[in-house]
Amino acid sequence: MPSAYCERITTATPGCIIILLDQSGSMSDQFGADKRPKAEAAARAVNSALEELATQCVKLETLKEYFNFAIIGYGGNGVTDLLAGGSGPAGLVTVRELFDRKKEETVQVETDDGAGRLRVKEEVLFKWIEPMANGGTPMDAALQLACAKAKAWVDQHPNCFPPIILNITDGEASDPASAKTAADALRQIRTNDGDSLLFNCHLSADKDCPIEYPTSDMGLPNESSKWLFSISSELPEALIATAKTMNLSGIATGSRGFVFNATSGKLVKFLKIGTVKPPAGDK
Amino acid sequence: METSPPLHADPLFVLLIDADALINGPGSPIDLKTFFDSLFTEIRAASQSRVQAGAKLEILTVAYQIAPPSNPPVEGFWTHFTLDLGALHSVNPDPAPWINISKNAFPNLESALSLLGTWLLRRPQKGSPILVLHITAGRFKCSGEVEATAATVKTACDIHGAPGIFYTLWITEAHPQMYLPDVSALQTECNTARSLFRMSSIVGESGSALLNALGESRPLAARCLEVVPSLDASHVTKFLALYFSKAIVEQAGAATLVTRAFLVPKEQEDITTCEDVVSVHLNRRCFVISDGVGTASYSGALARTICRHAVETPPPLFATNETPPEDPNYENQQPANLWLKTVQDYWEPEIPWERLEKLPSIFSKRAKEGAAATMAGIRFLDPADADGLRFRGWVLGDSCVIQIRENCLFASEVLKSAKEFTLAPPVVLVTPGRQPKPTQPWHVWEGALRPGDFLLLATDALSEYILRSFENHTHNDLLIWLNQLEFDSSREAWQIFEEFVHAKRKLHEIENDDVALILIKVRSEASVAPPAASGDHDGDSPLPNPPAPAIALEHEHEP
Repeated sequence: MPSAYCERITTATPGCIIILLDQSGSMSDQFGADKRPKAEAAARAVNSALEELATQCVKLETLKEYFNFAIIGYGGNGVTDLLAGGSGPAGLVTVRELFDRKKEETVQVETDDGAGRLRVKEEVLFKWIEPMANGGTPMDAALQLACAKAKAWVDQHPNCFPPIILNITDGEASDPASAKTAADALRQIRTNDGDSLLFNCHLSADKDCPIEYPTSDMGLPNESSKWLFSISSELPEALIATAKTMNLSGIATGSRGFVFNATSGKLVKFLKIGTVKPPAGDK
Repeated sequence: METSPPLHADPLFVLLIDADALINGPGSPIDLKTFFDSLFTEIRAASQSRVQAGAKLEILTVAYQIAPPSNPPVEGFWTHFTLDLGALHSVNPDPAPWINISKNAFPNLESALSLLGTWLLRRPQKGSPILVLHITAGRFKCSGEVEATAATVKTACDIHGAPGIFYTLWITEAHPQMYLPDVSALQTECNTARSLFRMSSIVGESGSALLNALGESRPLAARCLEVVPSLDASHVTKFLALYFSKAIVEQAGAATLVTRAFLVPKEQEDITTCEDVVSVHLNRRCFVISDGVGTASYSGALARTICRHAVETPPPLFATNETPPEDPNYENQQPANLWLKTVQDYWEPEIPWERLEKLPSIFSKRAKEGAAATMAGIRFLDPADADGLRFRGWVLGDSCVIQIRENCLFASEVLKSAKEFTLAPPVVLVTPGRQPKPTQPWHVWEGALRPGDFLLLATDALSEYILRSFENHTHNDLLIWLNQLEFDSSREAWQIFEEFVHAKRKLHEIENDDVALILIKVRSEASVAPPAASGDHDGDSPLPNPPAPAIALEHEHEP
């Protein structure tokens, strides 16, 4: 019997990435050593990961349609499809549409000129979402919308690597029972290559140490974390192999796709590990 | 170990003609018949000894025409025959192609190149050196797709036994030039010039030797491109005469060596997307494969340039920047940085900056990030000894050299087990404007091939499958397949290769990745074809029919 999660990402067998982004009021709290609001750190991480993923699709003079994407925000305005109206199944966007929707922001970054001197240079960053924080946490509705999109995508791509759903949140769902039902349903949506994968990143303003990809909920500091851990999928071996190339320590067989109190850099890596089943031929 | 008398394989001359250039271009109408009559006479004169022995030149002509929008697309044009140089007449009934080619051409260059590339890839591998002469007025639409199909043609030429040559003769009123060292030397500032430059072969070491013999000294990275006002003003006849006379006279390689080379792209992808490349140089007994890293742009181009350079000049013994010690068995004494610099010089002009600048900035940014590729190669050494045919091998990354002896895994370099394959193998890194470097030194070793051994050069997906098959003791399918490939050099060998890879991909036993294989075997006296396989085709065999193109063909006849 062939192993699961072994399909390569190609233009004929694309992948599906759905990002759920908590935009509730508590996301305005500070986060991380630089004390930025959690919403800002999360938005930056999502934009950074999407830019890297989209850039992977640039090949010679064309865009390779390796993925379909969705970003679902949930907060005081309910659930919002932040990349609405794509031509993919259930409004998922193609790589071309993702590029068409990007905005560009010029920032100044410091780089080493190779001789130990810091130089400031301008860099153009891609942006798709802006930080937002207000209202409650309708995570259940976001998970239900993700279910609908994932199911529509799987119906059209039954032999592809299954959808990966990445949830970035700072706390409890407004309706945990409903959210758990939706999360369970989401993880049961499957292709011939395996079940959909739901990974969760729990941002916290507490000074607790980061915990990454644990194999059990022992050591998680609060019930919210334990709850998010419980709805997180186990990392398949193929993604564990990817994680090891990213120098992510502590990942082992049985690790769940869950990080607690990740720093901004680790948040980006979390998004990358979840979004990088490399295109075929990648090394 | 005794060796049999050398085989000789008739070289193949492919004439790719832009019908517009002949009829409506500068200096038109162009008299191709006179051009070829003088060319064949020169070839004959330069290769007298072999001509006496019945040397032949296989000729394929492919014509394309840029149909004006008001005209309907025209039908394809394709002739294939063999010329007996001793008598200067065809040995098969097909007529000479240079008459009345104004009708019935492929509707564009890309379709002509696409079919040509497929035909060359699937052609029986008899060790024929191949030269493609493209005569054009340059009025085609320059695009990445056209250049990609030309690249596939060049790769296809290189699997047959010697580095192929794609020689472009651009007939235009622009400033005459030839064998340009780099793109910036083009005095014609237009995208067509740059596109034709990239489509043309690198001169390389073998081309440079030819040019030196003609009194033209050019750097290795120069291109086989002539910009001329008319066919009469061209230099190409002299180049072609020297090339074919050398190809006819030189040995094609020992009869005891069986070599086969194959390429298959990812499932449902076109061959032009394949970033695995192979190159075979039978006269130098050198074989190279390279695998471009998929997430970088222009890695396929890097793999091609690595193969092209390494098959003529294998990488130095040590991947350092020191001059290696004297080694009588090893020609290349240059430090690694100079060897890699040549790879860079071959690769950098492949990037079409003029087109990337018109696209969103991300495309240029990606190109500037550079490219990466693995490589593996072997070169046979003199003399053979009691251990067999000695060879020196080199590997960087997860392309492997695997030796099978008596149906068992005898050796594998550099990876020994399927578990060792990772997503981040060591590679050659090139970046525009910077010194290229390997991420770690390449591994070099020596071995010996005995009669009956298989020596396989394979890129990662196939290497991993081969090693896992032996580890799991499920290698029976593999051995049957390799034996079929060894004994069948006909067009069906390609089909056998593709079907096996396709079947194993469906079972997830081979990753859905580009696959490249060079198979080398020293024939033992006991080697016989398995009953189910077709017979030995290494000797002369009837020329194959071209594949049925998507558009109908019509032969032109001499009046």
